[in-house]
Amino acid sequence: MVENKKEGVIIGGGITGFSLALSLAKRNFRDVLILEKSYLASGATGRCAGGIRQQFSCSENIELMKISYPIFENMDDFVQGGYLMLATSDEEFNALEENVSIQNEMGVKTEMVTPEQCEEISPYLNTEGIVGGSYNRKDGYVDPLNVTYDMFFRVKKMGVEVSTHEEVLKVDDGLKVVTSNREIETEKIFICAGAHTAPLLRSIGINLPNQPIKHEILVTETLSHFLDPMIVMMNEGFYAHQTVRGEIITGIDMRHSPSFDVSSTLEFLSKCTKRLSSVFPATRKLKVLRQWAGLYDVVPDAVPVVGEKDGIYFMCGYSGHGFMVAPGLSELMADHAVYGRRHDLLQRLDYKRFKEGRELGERVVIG
Amino acid sequence: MREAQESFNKLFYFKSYYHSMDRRIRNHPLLKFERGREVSFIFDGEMVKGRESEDVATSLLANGIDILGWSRKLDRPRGYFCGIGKCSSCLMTIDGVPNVRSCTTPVREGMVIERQHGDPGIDPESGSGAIKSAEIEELSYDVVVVGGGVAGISAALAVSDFSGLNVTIVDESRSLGGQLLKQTHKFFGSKEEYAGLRGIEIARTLSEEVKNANIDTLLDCEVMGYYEKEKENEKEEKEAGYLLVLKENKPVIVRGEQYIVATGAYENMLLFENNDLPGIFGAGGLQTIMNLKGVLPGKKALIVGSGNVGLILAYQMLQAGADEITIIEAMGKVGGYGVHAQKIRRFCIPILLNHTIKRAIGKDKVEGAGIISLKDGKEVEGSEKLLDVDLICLAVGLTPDVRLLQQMGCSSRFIKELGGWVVDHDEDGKTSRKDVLVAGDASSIEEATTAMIEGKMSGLRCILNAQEENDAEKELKRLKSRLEEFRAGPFSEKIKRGGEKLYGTVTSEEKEAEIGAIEERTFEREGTRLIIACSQEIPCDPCVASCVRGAITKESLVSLPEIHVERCSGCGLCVSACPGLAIFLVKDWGNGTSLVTLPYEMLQFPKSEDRVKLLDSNGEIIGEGIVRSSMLSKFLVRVVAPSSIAEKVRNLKLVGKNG
Amino acid sequence: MDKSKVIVCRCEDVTLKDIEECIDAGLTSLEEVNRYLKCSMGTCQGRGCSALVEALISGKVNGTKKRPPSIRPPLLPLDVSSFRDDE
Repeated sequence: MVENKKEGVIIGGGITGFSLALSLAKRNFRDVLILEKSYLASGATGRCAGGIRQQFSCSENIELMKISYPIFENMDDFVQGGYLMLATSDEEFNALEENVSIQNEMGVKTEMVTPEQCEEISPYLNTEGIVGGSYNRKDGYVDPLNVTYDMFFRVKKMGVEVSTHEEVLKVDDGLKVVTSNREIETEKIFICAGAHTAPLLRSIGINLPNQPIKHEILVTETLSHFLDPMIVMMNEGFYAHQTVRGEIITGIDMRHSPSFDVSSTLEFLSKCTKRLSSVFPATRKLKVLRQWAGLYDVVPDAVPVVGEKDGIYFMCGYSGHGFMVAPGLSELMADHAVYGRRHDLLQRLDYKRFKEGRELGERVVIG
Repeated sequence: MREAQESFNKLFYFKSYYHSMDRRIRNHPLLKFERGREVSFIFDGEMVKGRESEDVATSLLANGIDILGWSRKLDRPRGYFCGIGKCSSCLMTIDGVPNVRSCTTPVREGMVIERQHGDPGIDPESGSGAIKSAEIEELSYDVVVVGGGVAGISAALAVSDFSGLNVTIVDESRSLGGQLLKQTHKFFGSKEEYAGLRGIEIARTLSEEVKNANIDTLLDCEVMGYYEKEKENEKEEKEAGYLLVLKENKPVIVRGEQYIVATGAYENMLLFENNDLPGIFGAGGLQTIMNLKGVLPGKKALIVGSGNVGLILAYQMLQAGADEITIIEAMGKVGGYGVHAQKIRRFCIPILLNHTIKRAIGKDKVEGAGIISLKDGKEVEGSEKLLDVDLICLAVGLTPDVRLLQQMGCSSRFIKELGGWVVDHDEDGKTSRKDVLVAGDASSIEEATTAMIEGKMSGLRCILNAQEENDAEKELKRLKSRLEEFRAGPFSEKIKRGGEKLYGTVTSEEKEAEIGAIEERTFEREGTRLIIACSQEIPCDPCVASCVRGAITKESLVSLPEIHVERCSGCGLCVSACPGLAIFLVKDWGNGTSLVTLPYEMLQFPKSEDRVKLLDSNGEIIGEGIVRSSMLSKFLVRVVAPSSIAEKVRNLKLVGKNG
Repeated sequence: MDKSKVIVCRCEDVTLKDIEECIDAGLTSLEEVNRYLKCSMGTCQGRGCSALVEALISGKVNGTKKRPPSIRPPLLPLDVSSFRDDE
């Protein structure tokens, strides 16, 4: 028989859901059910590039990353190959410099580099047209799928229940979760459903400015290691990095209009491969194996959105940074939900900021 | 000094090994291989000779080189496997480009080919120069057929025969015909489906028809996927999509008002120890290299699976010159047609039922196989036997290739009887998308003949979707009942059960074809005996058509032939017409000898006056005879045999000069 | 049978042992096993292994529902330089 009573229900089997489950379990809050409408990490988590960085322009994001970092640094497969952000104009270069001074102030050791230094950091990079960049050697990446699935194995051992292919249709004010096959009563609900969070909140009277924006990505066949850092071009939202497996994961901003559609486009395939082969001419004979797309849950100021109303907690609005901020944010949320301790950062990230004119602002959104 | 010695040893080893071996098939009873002039290329630092028409992997295998590379993580040796560029087994670095599919890359003079250990490195020299966007050519058609096999060709022909719609066939290989191009056996079915012709002949005939029908063909074109242009906003109608096709490595957009997807199937793998060792082939891969490329990569073979593919393959290997073949079958009965089984039984090839493979043995390539007996599907303890083989071929079924269909968004479901994941479709091949149809093995695993009919039906459905057309309507109706005739036999129970699941009708009672020993029937009149070794209801009737005197009739396509021996003149035309090689004619001369007319399709075709050993249905020698006459064009031999054994003669073997 | 010598996915060298351990650890669908072990993420994109993995899962886990695998373009490996001309 399916048990329909739980102390807590987490909606969403992605990085946020599992990070939160882990943070809650560490605080002995373990009678938890995670509901995932498809397979584990089927949403933005399993579709992202897995980049982890501290190079942000907004201090809230940097603060969040400072909490997330130790968690990633504890993972075996966190590869710190650095992030190299490249400017092709003085304007972009100045913006990078501004960001770096904010980061430095907060103790993040990012440095400005010349085109020559860029070439040293990444020997196969075509530096033509590059005026300089910012570089943080502590930035890096993990395999988002491995991280999430490992968290799944851990929380399962700690007694957390996980149900896949069970879609949540409605969240009730009376702390009831209606799914595709049952109704579950609970004491706390955590909505961690990425771009699908905002629509679920509407039924309890919370209207968020979030918009689902499709971002596309592709992966090549594997090569022996040649690329350390994540390369980012500031002008087109282009990025590329090589994973531990040896494949190159790359993407470029296509400025898609808001929609939940995640189909792949030929326009992206063409634009991204052309860019990749100009940034790394040596990749021209490489082969693309797959392309796919995922959703950024975008808010106007590109900084995460959190909130709580009558026992319903939510984390969303990551605007493309969810994977890296989720572990840190989950720690704060768990403190809030279990101990009632509300970190000051949660206050600043609260969803009411849009109505109250306390909008923040992040400039460094990639992909 | 030691280094020099080592490199000399290496050189000597390579030279002596490669140059001592040539596995190209020189003589074949049915096939001629046009190989073109010799070309030399560098393989891991040594010079190797190939032929102009060969691909890299074929040339290497022809030279006795079985290891094409090592796997990326575990460094396991890998060799030729699928033969059609669909797996990762043959990836090599060619002229500096890593991970090139060597089984589909033509060999060229001076090419530099290297095997890979692990992941290859990036080649810093591989790119330079400014970027210019390539122009993307766009082609539009009323109907785009994906796949130039028998189903696809039939679909395109139906479209062009019954309407003025413009139609194209897209296929990744250089010639039309798909799997037909690898088939040397005569096909079952009826005249309308070219029964009695060999696969290679049907491919030729159909290609000719396509040419005459003015159908556009996009050959050497790989379909990369289906794309749709993005909507500007949510309310907008989604624009129809298109296929991205790579034509000679250049992108081309191919648009169709409607698509017929006839992408065929790919082969199933099997799990056993060392199942990736070089020398293990998929059935299709082996047919490709043996019958299309003309290289026989092993002489002593184990074939896993006794379905029609496994049985036919054994026969084809005999024709290509293999020495020893063993077939194993996990089930308690032969999976394929009895007529195919008896063709190879006559050559003494054992079919071990309730057996499967446990391991492949060998360090760098297949040197043996461990096989085990099964009881109730489980291994019998201590039953492992080692077979001395140098080739293992997996003929364990096919899975419909629905990747394109699934990517196009056609709904699909898993139906075991139809081969795995199949797209939802109706009898005409219409999928969940109104502009996409499916035909042939891509819809469900069946025979070439039914693929032909399905192809035609999908073509006609396309016409009717676009316009009213009385003739097409009538023809579609006729083909529907024709398909039913084909599927009336016991071998179609599985496909019918699968179809019922798909179409949602009530499941019929399970009725499996009983496949065991063939019951032979003998009909006699005044010393002339006609022996028919055909006791299974398979859809086939060339024997009926071959007899001008009407001595053979059939009630329906799948019923057993009836012999009206009073009308038989003993001409023997039916013997050569039967695709199953299941008819034999014995004329008793009254002097203790008889004249036996039998089919024979092997190399070393006997000539008149040749002395031959006479073999029975199990390949056992039962006596000797002398060839009276033979007709290579019809693969027919008449041999004088002692009357006492004449009725049992099913095969013959030339007696050597000293024998 | 030495399950570490039974190859399920040739492209990524995933063995029967790997797959069984992964299913035992709690992953119960093709999509999940594929994503954790990276089978079907190599050159052949799962043509060789998907059916095997699916069969192994349904052999070990009761009552799993088979779901169509997600098929992502390109259907065959495509050169990074396909959309450009070298000058």
